[in-house]
Amino acid sequence: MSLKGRRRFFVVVVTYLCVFSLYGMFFGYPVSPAKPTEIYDFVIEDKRYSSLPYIHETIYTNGKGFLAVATIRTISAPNSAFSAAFERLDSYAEDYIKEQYGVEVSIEEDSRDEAFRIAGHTGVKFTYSVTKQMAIGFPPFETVQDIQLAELGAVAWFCNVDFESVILIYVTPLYFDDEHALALLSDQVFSMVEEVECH
Amino acid sequence: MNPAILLLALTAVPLGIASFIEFRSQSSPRALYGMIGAGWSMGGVLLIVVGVPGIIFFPGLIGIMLFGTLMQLRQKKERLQYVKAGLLTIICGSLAVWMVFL
Repeated sequence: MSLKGRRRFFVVVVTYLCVFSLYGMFFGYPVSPAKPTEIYDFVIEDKRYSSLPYIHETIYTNGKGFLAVATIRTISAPNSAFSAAFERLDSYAEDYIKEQYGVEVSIEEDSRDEAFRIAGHTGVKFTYSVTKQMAIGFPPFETVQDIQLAELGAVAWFCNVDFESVILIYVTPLYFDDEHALALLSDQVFSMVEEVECH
Repeated sequence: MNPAILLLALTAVPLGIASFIEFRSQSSPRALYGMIGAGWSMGGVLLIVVGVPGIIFFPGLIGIMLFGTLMQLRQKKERLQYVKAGLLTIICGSLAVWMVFL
């Protein structure tokens, strides 16, 4: 290789090393975690899930409802990418529940909104119904019915002002709809989801 | 400004400087489009912050690189340039299909 060729090779290597280092620093830069404005009396578990890319995870639970907020350092992410991920969430969640708790439930997509307004941004929102087959009545008159146990929801959007993507996953049981005090806990989960801010 | 955004905007600077050095020594189309691409990337990061959809910037950058490579090919028929042009065309085509169907 000629001197000119070697010099050019060196410049290219150094240039790309600089570019990759800068990308590394960008993806490793701590996020400003997204959080709901009102947290009621939910128990909070806060942790760094990963360093590269930097992912911060906060879990809010009240014994009945559950909300997980993940803030991820990303470059601009289109809503179609979030939708593609959420399209696989039902089967993933079914397998997860079966593995973790040994419970067979069926999770099916209920609705999707690919222009969901949240925190001043347009994101995507998917909702799923969590159902389980249960025997109702006593033998020999019992019947097997699909009972909806909970609503699972997934919301995601890209916070352009921080270059972060926010993903919310919530689960709120529905079987206590007729009990006001318990229904209130469920309403609190929905309220928290609607009031999550980028930082 | 969030330092992370500054870091992302700076990722285009090394390529811009390398293209500028090359452009000064030999004003090749590749160096010229390298500088344009670096400017496009930096501008893109800053424009995304003010709300411009980010989906246009990466395909735009690939398009600029492809155009620069094709211009370079018109001047010098190097084998490496053919490989680069082929790869960029595949990426450009895939992005176009992805943007239309997703």
